[in-house]
Amino acid sequence: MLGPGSSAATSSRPPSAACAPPPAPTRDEDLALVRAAALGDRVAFETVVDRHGPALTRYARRAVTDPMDAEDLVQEALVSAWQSLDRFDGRSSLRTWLFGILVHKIGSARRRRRAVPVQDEVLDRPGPGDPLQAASDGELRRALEAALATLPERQRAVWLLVQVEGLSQAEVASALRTTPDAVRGLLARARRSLAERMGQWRA
Amino acid sequence: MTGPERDAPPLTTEEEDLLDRSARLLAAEHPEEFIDVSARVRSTVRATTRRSRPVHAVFPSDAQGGGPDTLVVREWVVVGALRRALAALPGITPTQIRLRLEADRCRGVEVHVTATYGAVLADAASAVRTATRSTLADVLGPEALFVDRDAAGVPVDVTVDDVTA
Repeated sequence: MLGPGSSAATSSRPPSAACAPPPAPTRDEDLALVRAAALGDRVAFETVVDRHGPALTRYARRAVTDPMDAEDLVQEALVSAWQSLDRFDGRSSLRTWLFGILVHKIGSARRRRRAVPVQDEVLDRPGPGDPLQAASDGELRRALEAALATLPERQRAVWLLVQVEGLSQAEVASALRTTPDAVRGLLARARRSLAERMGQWRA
Repeated sequence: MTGPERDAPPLTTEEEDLLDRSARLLAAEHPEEFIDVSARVRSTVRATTRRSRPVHAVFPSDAQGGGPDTLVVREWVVVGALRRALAALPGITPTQIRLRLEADRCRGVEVHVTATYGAVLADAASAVRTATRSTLADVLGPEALFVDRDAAGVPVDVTVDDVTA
């Protein structure tokens, strides 16, 4: 059980990022780095890589099944960003722009390769006497990853970007080249599907 | 509410808590493999050049009686040199630098900068022009910079995009 007061109550909490992101670089700081990098300052670009690369890698690991593919795609996205920095106009945040490039790379890769099915046994229910509080984070993470892998691609992308990476729905819409209304719908469906697939963890 | 939010029952508090806990787990991760990714990106970026136009450079020849030596420099190299020169000016941050080329000849430069609040903008612009022409002369050679012999040198158009604190 989750704890007192949690059973069967409905929630009106808005979906939000579950964890405050690490000290976020300001938009102005990012813009200054991009401008310097666009004029050839590789050190400035390496700072961009260090700032945003971990989040991109975290996202890619859940967006594709093969960890090596994830690393390759992040690398491709960052190098592509380096080569097209002069096209960054600052209308979106740098983070949104980078995620947009990565999402595009992942979509292209997915069209080239067949998706690898997820193993159902990963979703196996924890054994009796394993209450949620005692369940290891590793087990929950594995179950979540398995549940995520069953979501349609865009639902998974939206859930990861909003709830894990903390992008606003408008930013996600920009990265995915869709509308905020569509993002809202995808997020609601993703949350419902994940909650159902992970229902075993609440029993 | 619209669409799926209206049709589906709202999540229970239990479900919300589970998803929040799950998302926190993922958000707290600092992927170890990023160390490798970062190294590969840095290496690739160092080896990757952007598409860049060739720019004609002319330097006096050391050879007796010979014509001037010529050299082709990529625009990327010129812009990098200008960036470093302008960034070294007090209170100036270059934001865009574009060479105006006719064929491969430099016929002008457009420089966008931000200036520190309180700077006299005319003086700042003058310093930018001077540094730009000096750098162009170093990189492309003084002979390459004249539109014609009677001109004072390539025009340098300076735009102050912003004044920062």
